[in-house]
Amino acid sequence: MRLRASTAGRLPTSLKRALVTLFLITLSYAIASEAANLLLPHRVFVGVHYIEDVDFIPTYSSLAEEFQFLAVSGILQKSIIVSTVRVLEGFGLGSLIGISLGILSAWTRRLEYSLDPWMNFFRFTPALALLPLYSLWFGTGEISKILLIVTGVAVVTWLGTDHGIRETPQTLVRAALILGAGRWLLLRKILLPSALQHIFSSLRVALALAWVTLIVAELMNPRIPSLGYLLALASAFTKVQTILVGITVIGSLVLTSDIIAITLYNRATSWMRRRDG
Amino acid sequence: MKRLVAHQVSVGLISLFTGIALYTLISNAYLYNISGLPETVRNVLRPGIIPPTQELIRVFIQLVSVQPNQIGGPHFHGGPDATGGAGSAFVEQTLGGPLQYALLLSSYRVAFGLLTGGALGFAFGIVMGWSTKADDYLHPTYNFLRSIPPLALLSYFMIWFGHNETHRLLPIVYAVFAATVIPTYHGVRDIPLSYLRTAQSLGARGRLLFTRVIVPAASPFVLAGLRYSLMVAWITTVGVEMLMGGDGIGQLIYDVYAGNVYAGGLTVGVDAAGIIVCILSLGVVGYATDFVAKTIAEKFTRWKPEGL
Repeated sequence: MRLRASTAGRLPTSLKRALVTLFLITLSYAIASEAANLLLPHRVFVGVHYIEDVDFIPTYSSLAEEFQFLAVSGILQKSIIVSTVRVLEGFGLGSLIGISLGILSAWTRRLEYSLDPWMNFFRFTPALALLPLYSLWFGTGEISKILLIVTGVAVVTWLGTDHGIRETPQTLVRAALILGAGRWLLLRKILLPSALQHIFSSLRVALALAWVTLIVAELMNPRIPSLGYLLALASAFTKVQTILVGITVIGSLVLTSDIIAITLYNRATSWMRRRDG
Repeated sequence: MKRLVAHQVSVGLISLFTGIALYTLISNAYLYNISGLPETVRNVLRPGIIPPTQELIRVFIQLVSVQPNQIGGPHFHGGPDATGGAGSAFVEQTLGGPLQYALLLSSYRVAFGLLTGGALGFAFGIVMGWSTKADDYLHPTYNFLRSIPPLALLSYFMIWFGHNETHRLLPIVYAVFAATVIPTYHGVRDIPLSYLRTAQSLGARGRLLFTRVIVPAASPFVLAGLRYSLMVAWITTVGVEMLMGGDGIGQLIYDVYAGNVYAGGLTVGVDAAGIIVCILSLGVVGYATDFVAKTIAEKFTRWKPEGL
């Protein structure tokens, strides 16, 4: 059961199975939404009063209606562009800072020891907790939103890079040193390639983290073309349709960026040996 | 080895103290004649922007020691009612300050999320990693579910469960679940085939194979993932509390920011000092939980061969 047939022959089967799951989920959601339409109450008690016309599980038609409204009015497209640009800016800058810090802290022992307490500390101050501080220091504009993402991403990639370089098998490092490799050569040919896996997985975590941070960061000085505020507005007015459309859109964006990242990684590491059964 | 550790500790301490001393120096610069400096620098060197170290200590003592009955300005929505738990009033009275109370509540949420979500994610990851069939059926759906940021689900959960503890804990459980599945999945899938073949040819099957081969071989990956899960749990907890908290450290940070915490008639907040104190104590508690996780991980994976 663990043995997998050759990848080429297996692909259609796995696709078929994935589609079966997708179909089942779609069908059960349709049934559940129709049943909820009939059975569940259509009002919800919020704090001090009832809100009417709330669908706990909205039907496909109402979701499509909401999606059409958001798309035709252009809110959705503009929000997607604005939020994605913010994430990409923060992610690019943050990963640059994080990876260079990671290389620096794994460089010499003394530097590693002196940076260690700071790294251990910052790893557990969630970037979100810095939101009030940043809005105090840098204002509530674009800068603090991006800096918040930069902080979160930088810490995670710093940890990943540092960990990856430290986990490099000592035999490789010693062999390279004995053969007369200089520092730069050692870093470029031994340390970075062997740390690539850790760096990459930390980048994936950081990408997801950037989206989480953004959703909260967009609540300061909120402007409407932004996914975070769209979700917040929808929840303030208890519009379940908008909430679900927003969640789906954000999920698709994160999934797409993850798939792009994996493709890039596989292309970059096609030289590596793979463990495939 | 011992000398090396002592060296590490001393260098780390020196670095830490140098940083604190530098900060104290910079933050106290406003007390002296700095009119020679350019205006932008003078604007930054204000106690409201970079609070001096003694101010941080004063606010810390205030947040730790104020009796809870003195807290509660017009907009303060913390307190025992918000949690709804019967024991929370007792906890608050025993602990004293709002800071300990908030940190304890948040750590409880983190622990709950870690235990529940971790167990669920572990089970799910083993199933997906072991059976190709389950992997095929479930992985695409899981990939999409994992992509949804837990904080985005918060409002939908609230509509279902109302404004109570359930809807605060669910996103944390969900986040930890998503973070635990990946390392477990890879750990189980990448068990060296030689281990399995050896065990199977010696006649191990079913439960024996599971408890003696699969779980130990996957555990280094799972425990390495535990520290990531812990980080994710803290981030989600703080985010949830900031968005819809009512209490906990995220709410306290926000309250301090908005000037909602009153201590003996004095506003603690509005300035940066309260926020920084909260963030620093969050870091300390987070570091402590990570230390526990690290110790556990090292204890259970002592057998791990080098280079795995």
